[in-house]
Amino acid sequence: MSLDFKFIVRLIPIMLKYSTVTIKLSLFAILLGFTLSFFIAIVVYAKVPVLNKFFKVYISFFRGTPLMAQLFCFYFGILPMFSRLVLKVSSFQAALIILSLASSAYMAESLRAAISSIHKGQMEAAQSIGMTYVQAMFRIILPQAIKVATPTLFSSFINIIKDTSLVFAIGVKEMMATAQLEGASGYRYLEAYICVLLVYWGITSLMGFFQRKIEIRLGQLVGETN
Amino acid sequence: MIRLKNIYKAFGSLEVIKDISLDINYGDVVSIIGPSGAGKSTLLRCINCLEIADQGEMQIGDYHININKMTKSDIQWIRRNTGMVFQGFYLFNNKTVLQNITEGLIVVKKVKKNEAKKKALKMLEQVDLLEKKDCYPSSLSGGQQQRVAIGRALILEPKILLFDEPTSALDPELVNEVLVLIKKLAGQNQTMLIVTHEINFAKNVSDRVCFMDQGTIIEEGPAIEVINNPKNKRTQQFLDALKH
Repeated sequence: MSLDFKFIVRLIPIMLKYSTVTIKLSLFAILLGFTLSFFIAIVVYAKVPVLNKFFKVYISFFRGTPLMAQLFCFYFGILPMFSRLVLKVSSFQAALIILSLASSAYMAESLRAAISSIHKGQMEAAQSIGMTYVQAMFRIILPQAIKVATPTLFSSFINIIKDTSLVFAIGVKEMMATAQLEGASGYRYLEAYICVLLVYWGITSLMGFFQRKIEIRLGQLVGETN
Repeated sequence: MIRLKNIYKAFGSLEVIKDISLDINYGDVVSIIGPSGAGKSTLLRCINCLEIADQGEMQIGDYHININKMTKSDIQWIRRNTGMVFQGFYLFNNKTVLQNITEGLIVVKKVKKNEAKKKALKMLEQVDLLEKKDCYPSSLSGGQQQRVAIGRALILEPKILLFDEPTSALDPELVNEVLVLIKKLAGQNQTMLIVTHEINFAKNVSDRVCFMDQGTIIEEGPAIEVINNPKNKRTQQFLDALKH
């Protein structure tokens, strides 16, 4: 059986159409997950009582369990328990919630490591001129930490994009679901999944491009010349 | 004046500062010398509240603080009225030289940006680094970084400027430019407390010298007297060892 290029060419536009679901889901999950991870990292780094302990368990749980199991547990297990309440959660929203929570655990660890890597003298110098902890954190420490964290954060972003391929399992109609459907209709599974891989590769390459741009920009902020 | 009274500080079971009292008049330059591990740096850090002493009293001008009852706003007040110059400079790496100096004015003292910049440029002239104003710390030499750090502390007009071994991390040929600047400040009657290993410098620049060992001030007096004719045996031993 030979590769049917015509099939691939015909399928690509369909995939690109459904990639908007992937991109939408990824972007929202990155945005929500990153915001949440920011908060978690600062809480854990500053050792805020109670919350610190809570987020340590949170990180351990979301990093230590499979995303697919989290999705199933949430969508088929937890959500139906609350189905009588007003809130009606679509499969897209459920996927977004779990992706954001799970990725925030990874990103919080990246950020925490990056914050720890900034010499403690930076914080001391900021405090010695009278800045509060929060001022020092936002004006001095975090801008430097973000630069350190950028490569690992982008790895997380890329992981989020790839992990969206799992959410078809709870019924979100995205690229994987389409590939399965189209592949099955003509027994052209190889072509269908090659399409999926190419579109994913395209999207993540774009992320890699943004990463380089951002690294250069952040480098300029501490006086690096390229 | 600045007064420390019966300051104690321990790290776990290790007593680093034992019952230190020290008076510094406005305009005075006081140097602290002594072997490493004597608690010199810790004493400075306690004054700046980077470490919180276990007990004792502090007075800066009319502001009295009992360390046991110190509140967050006390700490903030103290930090805003004392300046610290670190051994490792610790300039803000994400800010230019000019921004390093304006940062405290803008964020802490709420000075308007234009005004802060004007003041900072004057300060850079004083520390002789005006041409470096748009450079980042990573492109400066150690001596230049330390001069910026002094400017950063000085621009907030601290009632006392604390130096924690300001030249110990510098290459030998860069030490002098920093010492010259400190000396210039002494000439302008800036109150300073300097922890240093530069004995000759201490003798030249200070009004008084304290010799510290094992957490206490063992000998204190006019600089020339303490360094040329130390009365205490341990001070003698310390200074003799440095001559060889």
